[in-house]
Amino acid sequence: MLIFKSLIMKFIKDIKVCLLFFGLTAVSCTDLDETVYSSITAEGTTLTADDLDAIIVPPYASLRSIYWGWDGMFDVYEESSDLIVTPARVGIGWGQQYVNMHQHTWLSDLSHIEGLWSRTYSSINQINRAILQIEGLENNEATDVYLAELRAMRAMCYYILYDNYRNIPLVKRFDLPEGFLPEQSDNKEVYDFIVAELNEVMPLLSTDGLGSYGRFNQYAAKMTLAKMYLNSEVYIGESKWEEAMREVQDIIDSGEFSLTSEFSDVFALDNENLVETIFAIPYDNIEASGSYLAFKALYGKSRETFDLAGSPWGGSAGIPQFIDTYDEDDARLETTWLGGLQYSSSGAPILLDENDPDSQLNYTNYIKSVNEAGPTEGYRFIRYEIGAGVVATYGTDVPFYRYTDALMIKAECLLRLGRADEAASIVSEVRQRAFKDSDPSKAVMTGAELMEGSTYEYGKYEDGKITNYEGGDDIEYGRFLDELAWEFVGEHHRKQDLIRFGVYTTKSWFSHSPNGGFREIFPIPLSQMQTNSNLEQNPGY
Amino acid sequence: MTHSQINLARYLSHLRLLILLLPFIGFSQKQISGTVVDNQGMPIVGATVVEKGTSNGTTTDFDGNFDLEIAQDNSIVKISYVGFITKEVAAGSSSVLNITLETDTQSLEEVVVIGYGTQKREEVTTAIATVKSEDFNPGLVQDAGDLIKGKVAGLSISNGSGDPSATSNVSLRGVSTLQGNTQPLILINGLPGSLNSVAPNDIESIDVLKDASASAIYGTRGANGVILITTKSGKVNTKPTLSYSHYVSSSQFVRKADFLDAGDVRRLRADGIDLPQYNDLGYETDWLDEITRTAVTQNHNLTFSGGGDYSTYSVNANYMDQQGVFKKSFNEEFRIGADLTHSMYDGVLKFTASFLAGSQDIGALGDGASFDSRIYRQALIRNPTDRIYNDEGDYVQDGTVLQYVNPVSMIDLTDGDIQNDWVRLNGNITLEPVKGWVNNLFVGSNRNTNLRGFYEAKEYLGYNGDSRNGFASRYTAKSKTDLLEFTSKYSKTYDDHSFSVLGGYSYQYNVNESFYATNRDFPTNAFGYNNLGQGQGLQNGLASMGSGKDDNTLIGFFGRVSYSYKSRYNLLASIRREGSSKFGTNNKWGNFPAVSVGWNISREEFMENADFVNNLKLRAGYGETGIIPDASYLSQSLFSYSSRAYLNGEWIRGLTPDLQGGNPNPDLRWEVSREFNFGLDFGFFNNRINGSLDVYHKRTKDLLFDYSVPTPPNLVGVTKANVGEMQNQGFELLLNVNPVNTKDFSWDANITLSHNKNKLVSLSNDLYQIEGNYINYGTLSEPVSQITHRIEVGQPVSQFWGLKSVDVDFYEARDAFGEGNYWTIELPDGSRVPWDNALDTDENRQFLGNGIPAYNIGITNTFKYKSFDLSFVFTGALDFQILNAQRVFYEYPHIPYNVLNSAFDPVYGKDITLSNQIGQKFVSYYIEDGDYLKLNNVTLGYNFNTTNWDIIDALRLYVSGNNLAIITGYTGIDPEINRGSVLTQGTDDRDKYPSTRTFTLGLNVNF
Repeated sequence: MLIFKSLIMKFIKDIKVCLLFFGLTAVSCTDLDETVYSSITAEGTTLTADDLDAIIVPPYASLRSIYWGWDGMFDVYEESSDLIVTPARVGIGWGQQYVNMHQHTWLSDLSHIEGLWSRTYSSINQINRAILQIEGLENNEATDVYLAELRAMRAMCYYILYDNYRNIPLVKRFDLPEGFLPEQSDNKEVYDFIVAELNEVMPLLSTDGLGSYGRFNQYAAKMTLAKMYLNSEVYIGESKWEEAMREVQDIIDSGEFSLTSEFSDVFALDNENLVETIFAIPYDNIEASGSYLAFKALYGKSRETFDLAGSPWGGSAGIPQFIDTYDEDDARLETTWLGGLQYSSSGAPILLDENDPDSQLNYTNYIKSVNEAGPTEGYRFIRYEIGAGVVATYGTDVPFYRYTDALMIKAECLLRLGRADEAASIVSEVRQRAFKDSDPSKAVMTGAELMEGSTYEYGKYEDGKITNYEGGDDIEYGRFLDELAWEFVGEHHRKQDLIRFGVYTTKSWFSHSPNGGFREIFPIPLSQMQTNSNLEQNPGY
Repeated sequence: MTHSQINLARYLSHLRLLILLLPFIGFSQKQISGTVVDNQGMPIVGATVVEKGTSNGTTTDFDGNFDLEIAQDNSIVKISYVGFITKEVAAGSSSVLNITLETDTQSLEEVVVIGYGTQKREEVTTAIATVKSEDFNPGLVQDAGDLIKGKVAGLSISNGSGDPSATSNVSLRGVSTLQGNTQPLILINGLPGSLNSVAPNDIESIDVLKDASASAIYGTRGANGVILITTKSGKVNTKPTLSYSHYVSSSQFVRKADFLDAGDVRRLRADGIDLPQYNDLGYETDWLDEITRTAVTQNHNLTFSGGGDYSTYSVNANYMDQQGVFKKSFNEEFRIGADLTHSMYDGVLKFTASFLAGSQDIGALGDGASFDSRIYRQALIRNPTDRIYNDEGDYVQDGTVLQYVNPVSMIDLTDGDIQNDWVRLNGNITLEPVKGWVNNLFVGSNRNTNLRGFYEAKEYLGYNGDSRNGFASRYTAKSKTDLLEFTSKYSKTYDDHSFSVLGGYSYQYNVNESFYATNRDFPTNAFGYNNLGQGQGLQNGLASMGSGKDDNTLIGFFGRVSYSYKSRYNLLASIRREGSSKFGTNNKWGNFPAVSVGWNISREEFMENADFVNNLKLRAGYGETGIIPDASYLSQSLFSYSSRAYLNGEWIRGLTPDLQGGNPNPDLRWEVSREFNFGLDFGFFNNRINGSLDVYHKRTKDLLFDYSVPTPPNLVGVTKANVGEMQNQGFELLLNVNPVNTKDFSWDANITLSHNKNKLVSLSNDLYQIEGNYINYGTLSEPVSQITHRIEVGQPVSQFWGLKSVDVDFYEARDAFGEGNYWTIELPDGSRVPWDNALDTDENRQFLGNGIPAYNIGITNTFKYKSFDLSFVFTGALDFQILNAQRVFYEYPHIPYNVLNSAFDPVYGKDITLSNQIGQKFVSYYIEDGDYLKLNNVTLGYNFNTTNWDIIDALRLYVSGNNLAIITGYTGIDPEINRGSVLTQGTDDRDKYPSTRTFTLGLNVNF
């Protein structure tokens, strides 16, 4: 009370001083200009050649969200395929969008479909803006290289969009008139643009493989071209195996790349500056973490195996029919999939119920159905090394294009050009890492073997049994398709590969059955259709 | 913790002592009699005659006569009657008192605050509601909103949260914006503030400018209405008075969600009911009980005021210490307000200074938030057969279940504090050089600082079961609003004509600054959040830091004229030209005109004989108002160095667009509301029945909305733009009735009823189009992850949108679904199909109701019997639906979490359980009618007879209860739900801090 009273007294005494204080300093009567404090304004900033690196950072940074944004590129290429599924798990959940991906029942508002479009176009916008900014710089010799690099990256972004949506708008400038609404280009136009663009800038791109780690060098451009040619038959109904082979041959001939001795090196925690990586999207635990796969795949208790700092959410798993295709001696089975009884990092059995010694965590190669999966059903994808202390996201680099991929493109082209034996020798070379510690003789493949059908037992799977057996014998070059699965599962391959081998919309697997050939391409996302009246929906949707 | 507690028992014993100390009253008696007449000499029947300071009194008979026995000669006799000025007469030596009461023109002469001035109630032409301090709601009052809840028709005030630091959510005349602010502009003595800035006891009156013709003088900020709060001030030539009031309250949850307890689990298991993954661990824990308590609040308020010939003063000090029902949740506030006036040179020059300061200390259960809803959620869903601590005394945790953390550990192992301090200074100089010409210079400044700290102990386990090995954060912010306003007003009356002209200029500058830092990995818990540098996170790249600053300027020029002929015909017209720095370069300035007229029918000559009519007035008004965007710089293209990429062997930062609200939009401007208002004020039978009726039609165009735009060519898929159009129309009725008024007993009833109908008129223009003219909005969190609302042109906002379930039936195995019990869904074409995940698409969804009440009611009844008074306040809302999210998530037995008991109730009257293959889904089964009538407050008071007391002028004791009873069919905790989000109203969030029931014991003393 005493304090209160003296406070009041002081206030009354000070009131005259206060009144003087009330006077405001000079104000301008009608000035409404904004002062910006914690950002810089476009108008008030002059860029110079010193800013070149800062200008190209946002385009590069944006690639991370294309790949590891939630429901990003990883999920797009795997979850609609016959390799990986994210079922609705009893007691855990996981949403309908994953079931739709698996069953090919997506609509145009599915988050994978919305996300891939908006993130990739966001990158294109960032690139266009960077191009505009660089073009506005005072003449500088270095700018040509930067512009070429950006244009090549943009071509890769268009390749991703083209592969998934086909009929897409080509936006090549950032400074567009107000109200501008992009229009779709026709299929061939987009195809030609990507190819022409890459060829045009090719000579200006860096040829230093390792020295340009993380940047879009000439080999990344050639890989993109090779992918365009490889899928040419699907894209434009015109096969270009020779052309595809020519591009990868350049990469092989450059001598800049080679296979790492261990398969696991490619996906190690510190996989930077690898001889096998042609183009990487770099991540970092501190600067730019983003990969969440371990948490999306593992069940909570697996934290004890990997000494994780948090409990994973337990969703995605390998489709049992695919796991069954592996040769038991294939080292890639174990480096890619976590299955069976689980032990902690100290070797103790992981018990689900501490009081019940029979309750050891056991990942079974069985999933009841996409709508009703137990929490521990299904093998878990662990190809990317999982470091101790990880919570949710971590920073392993994504080897977006790697040397093995170049080799396998060459092998496929040879195979399709009727040179099966030559193809087989490449495949054998690739398989060596997988069998070197078990049975090296199994690495060797013959041309005749490669010409066989797939070993994948296609057909509807219910409660552990294949009900409508379809098999894979009838798939042309199916055996080679299997090779691609074992080598590239989880590397944004499968959707494209299945389409090229004619499987994506024709075969059944797990809870998926064919749902229309038009699903080889995604619908134009709903939000885009709603905001751009110039867009025409893809056929079938 | 400075947070002190009060012992209720000790308090009661103090109170008893006080009552015992009251002086004993002795008296000698005297008989008086007399007649009471009006100024025409007509006897007044039923006038009250009381011996002042006592309950001793009588009423006049049919001839206006009375007899009364009074205590002593020097007693004062008080004569009162509705509609007349109360008269006090010293009994003196005479025993016959003939008294003439003057008609009370005061109620008509009463002035109303209208913004930049006042107006006679009689001449008001706009929709303005006034609530004076004597009519405020008593009981536990958290902020100014609680004071007038249910008292102002059309003003919807909801809190719906038991969080002691939550402030009321206020909206006027429905939702008229999609994204802008929905809160009315709140001005405290002319300076912008919040409902919480001023202690409720310090408020003299609250005026609400409801329609645009009233609020247009506030331009871009007027579209949601304006609440003008006037604080108490001293009066000239009054003796110093001191009053003290105090209350103590105890609060508990009004209702608890009925989850399984250990007994239920065992009973169900014994009955053979399948509870998968839900083991009986052998213990019994009431988790909610473990983290909650009966919360005690104490409030002390001291006011003193007085005035001499030239100066007045008034000071109010308030201390409130309020516990939350959740442990560690509290709100401690100290607020002080002072008001001084001084008048010189016969009133030619007047000075006013007022000062308001407050200091608030809030317990923070979350990082920067008063409440961490996840703690509550964990208490609900945790296995009731589990225990808190294991044999070693550690918290029992279970990493096998997703997002499942011991709630006691969450509450015990965190420590947080939020401190808000504010100082508001106003100075006013009034110069009236010529009678009628008043010049006014107002300067004010409002400064707010916020300082927060939060610490998570090393042992704390996060939601992902993760540990940060000690995590601390600090945040501080300061904001300042300076306001300068100059007005000049000239008023003149010629015979029957009176008019006034006002012109003014307003300059408001607002600046906000903030800073935060976090660190982790601490060597000890000893520092809490007080020594951030000790964490290892900084070295490991896991600390964070940030700061920011922004400002904005608002400038207005305004003018107003009013004209009145014999107070019979009244006119008011105003215009404000206003500009804001927030607007785009192409649209800096806007005009906001308003005009309103009033016809005071009761002042017409032909009404002279209609004695029963005291007041009858028709009003009509039109006005344009605006809503301003929240953030600054939305029209500019900004950059910062926020993205990183690995180039040339190192991580470097890049120049990234700083897109706070989407793509920059240089055309950004205010939303425009155009509103027509028609009103009728009435007063009959000596104003024993009075009230008003208002009908309005409001159309808002250029609605601010985050438009989805195609990502090429736009940088991001969102641009904030002015496109849509919305319409609100409705009526508001206020009715005051005084059915009984005798000496001993009186009954006053006050009823408010409002209805609003909302419609979205358009969402598109040439530049921004929305295909199909609808947008789905609002999603229930995972694992449900389904859309809940849709806004669509032609429909009201906050429409529920989803699948209509009509039954549950047994279905054979289908594609990917085993046989079992599934929802039967009725499709829009009327056909019925079993649930399938693939059904949940727009083609199959339907509108399932609306979350915004169409009708709001408030009923206050006050009874006075001798020295007792009793009041009931009911509030209610009708014709709306609630999505009971708690049921969606927890009325499903196949989850590894605790569930509601109702999960085992029959579904659609069938004693079966849903298949475990569906998962928790949002279907119309979970949408319930929300209609309710709530007994919001009951207060019983007793006024002591203080005639012979030397020191005490008045003494009142009361008991009060808040949120006592709810009549509703809604099965959730409280149908008065949080109304924060504009577009997804009606969802009763599963984690909402449950509302509380409070009992209060209070006392007011005047010295």
